[in-house]
Amino acid sequence: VTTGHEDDRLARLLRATRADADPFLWTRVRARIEGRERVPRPLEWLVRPAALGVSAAVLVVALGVSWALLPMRATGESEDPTTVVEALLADANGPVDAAGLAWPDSGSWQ
Amino acid sequence: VPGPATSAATVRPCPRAREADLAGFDEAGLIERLRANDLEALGELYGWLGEAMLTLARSMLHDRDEASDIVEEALLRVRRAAPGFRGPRGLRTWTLRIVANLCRDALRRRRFSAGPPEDLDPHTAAGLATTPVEGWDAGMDQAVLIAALERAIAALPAEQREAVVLRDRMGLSYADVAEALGISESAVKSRLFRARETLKQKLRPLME
Repeated sequence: VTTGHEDDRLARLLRATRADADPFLWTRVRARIEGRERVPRPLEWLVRPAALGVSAAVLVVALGVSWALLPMRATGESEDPTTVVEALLADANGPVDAAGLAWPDSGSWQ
Repeated sequence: VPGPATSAATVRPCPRAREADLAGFDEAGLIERLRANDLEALGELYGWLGEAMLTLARSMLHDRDEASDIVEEALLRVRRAAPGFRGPRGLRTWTLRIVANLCRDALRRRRFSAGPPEDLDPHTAAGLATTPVEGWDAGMDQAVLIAALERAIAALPAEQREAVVLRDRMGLSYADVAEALGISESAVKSRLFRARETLKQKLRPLME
């Protein structure tokens, strides 16, 4: 078999094989394009990765600010004697204490 | 109420304008309509070049589904890039260049994945169709030869495979192959020479 014959056979075999066009492929592409173009602009903006990144950043900042504000508020509250124990302790020297309410321990009612 | 034009389930046959039936085909007009984002024009482009796009993708990847995904993506890119179209050698070469680039990306990704099973017949897996070769020697089994040829093409390095598919299978000129692959004509010839030698060597035992 000469090289010329080999080349000819190879060329003919190569040209004998092709792919058939797939009409469903165009249907899918068309549906994808039309689907994308139907998405409302605000929704399209929301699904963009950049928008998601910005949203995540805003969330992180908001959480950070909240976290920073909470201890400040707690510190401010601790200065007021508003808990039950603190109120009782604060009132221990007051006129109510003078009425004498420690009766169950003494076993007598005065 | 959405009409049939917007229904994804509607089977809409693509315009049949195959390369062989292109007498009087207005490529410049099609380019203008693509630039204007005309969806029907994209359908006509697929009708014209769909076979070529699928032949290239299936011959490169030997995976029917992956090749379909590549061609779908290529059409979306054609639509996106059409307003800035500057194809010195026309729409066909430009479109096939997009397909070739996507195939290269897919082959690169395969390095990190298992890829198709090794024992799969590349001709069957690719979903390629074969027409009988006229005047073929009856003593040689064409089906066996074509299966062996497809296996040999699948084993070629990707840069040789794309050259042999575009030039020898699809019949593009050397200049068009060079444009589609973004290389010089001499590089195309060099790749083709090496590819053909490898293919002949692998088929020689079956053709003697």
